[in-house]
Amino acid sequence: MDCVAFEIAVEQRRHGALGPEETRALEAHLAGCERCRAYAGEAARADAALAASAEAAVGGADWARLEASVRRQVRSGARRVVFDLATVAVAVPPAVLGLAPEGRRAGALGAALLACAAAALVRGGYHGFLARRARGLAGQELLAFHRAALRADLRRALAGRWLALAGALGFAAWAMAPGVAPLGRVALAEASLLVAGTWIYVLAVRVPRLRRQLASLGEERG
Amino acid sequence: MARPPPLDAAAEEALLLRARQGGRAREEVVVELFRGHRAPLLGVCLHLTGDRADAEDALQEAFLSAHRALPAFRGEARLSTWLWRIAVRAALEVRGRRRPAAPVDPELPAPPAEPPLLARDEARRVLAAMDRLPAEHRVVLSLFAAEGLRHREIAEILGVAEGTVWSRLHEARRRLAAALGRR
Ligand SMILES: [Zn+2]
Repeated sequence: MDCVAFEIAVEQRRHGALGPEETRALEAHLAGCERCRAYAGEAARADAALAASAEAAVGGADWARLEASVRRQVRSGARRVVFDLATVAVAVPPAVLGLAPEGRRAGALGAALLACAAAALVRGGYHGFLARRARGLAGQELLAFHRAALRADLRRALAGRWLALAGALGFAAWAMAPGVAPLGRVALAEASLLVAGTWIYVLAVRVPRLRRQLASLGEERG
Repeated sequence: MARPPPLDAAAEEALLLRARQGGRAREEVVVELFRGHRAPLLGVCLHLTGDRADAEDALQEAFLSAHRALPAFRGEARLSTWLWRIAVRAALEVRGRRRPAAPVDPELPAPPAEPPLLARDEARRVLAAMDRLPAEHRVVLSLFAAEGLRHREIAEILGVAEGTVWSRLHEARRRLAAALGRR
């Protein structure tokens, strides 16, 4: 056995996973090997430092405050769903009715409500997606999963801006259909705002954030 | 660090049954899990974020994620293993949110019984060195340093073969020593 194998045996002994025979072999090797003794000493020293810092954090934690905060956030998550729905119900119909010209209000309202329902479905699906993803898939390598999830988010964000552009173009085409000039200008402005907003968000906020997340993981290791 | 007795399969099953009632019952289950696992999880969150406030944020986020994900939990792993996986990812995310310019100067609070100054200095240096390692190495080092985790459970948390955790720990140890300037 070379020193690397003995160094791994040092770890296994530290964590109670070395059989009696291997332990004797390790001890015999350690007696004559400066390098492996240094390794064992360094491992013990680093683990003691890690344990000390963890203990300091645990000793200094205000558990009552943290627990109350977890409770509060759990509850506010449930309340937020109700709040979001109420906001949409109160805000969307008047906005649509105010913007749409006479004669097309019913259609516009219907379309807006459909869009809201679709958004609610997407939100629910996203919620479930986050829940499934929080732990990574069972049996899958956790960090590989974490990296893959971030890369998928990055791809989705970059694709999302094209989706916004396509949606805005479709909306503008619909709104500028012959015979409805007043809505055309408003719709064009809305569509441009939507596209500009999406692109700014994706390129200035979302993508840099995801890139930072990926970079913070460091190089990929097997 | 006082660690609660690990939940056996029957206790986990009972907790899950209660969690499936939803609403208040699920909240209470999450709080019970919080009380049972908070200390070792906070320790690992500290090692992974390198910052005490970030570690507390990560811990809270982990339990929020757990609350959200509990209904989808199908017993594919031990509940504690599942929680560890969630906490590791929460800690990595919280750390990733930090601006890269923000240097890590782990501010360790003075624990009730003040350790010698040298020990605290060493703890700080090791945390700062950990911060320069790739995530795989940070995670394996901190899980092995966590009290009460056996290598089998660590392999399950990481989703790797048992043999892999040893080689990864060994490589991480070498990198840590290098980051500390000791090799
Ligand atoms: Zn040797």
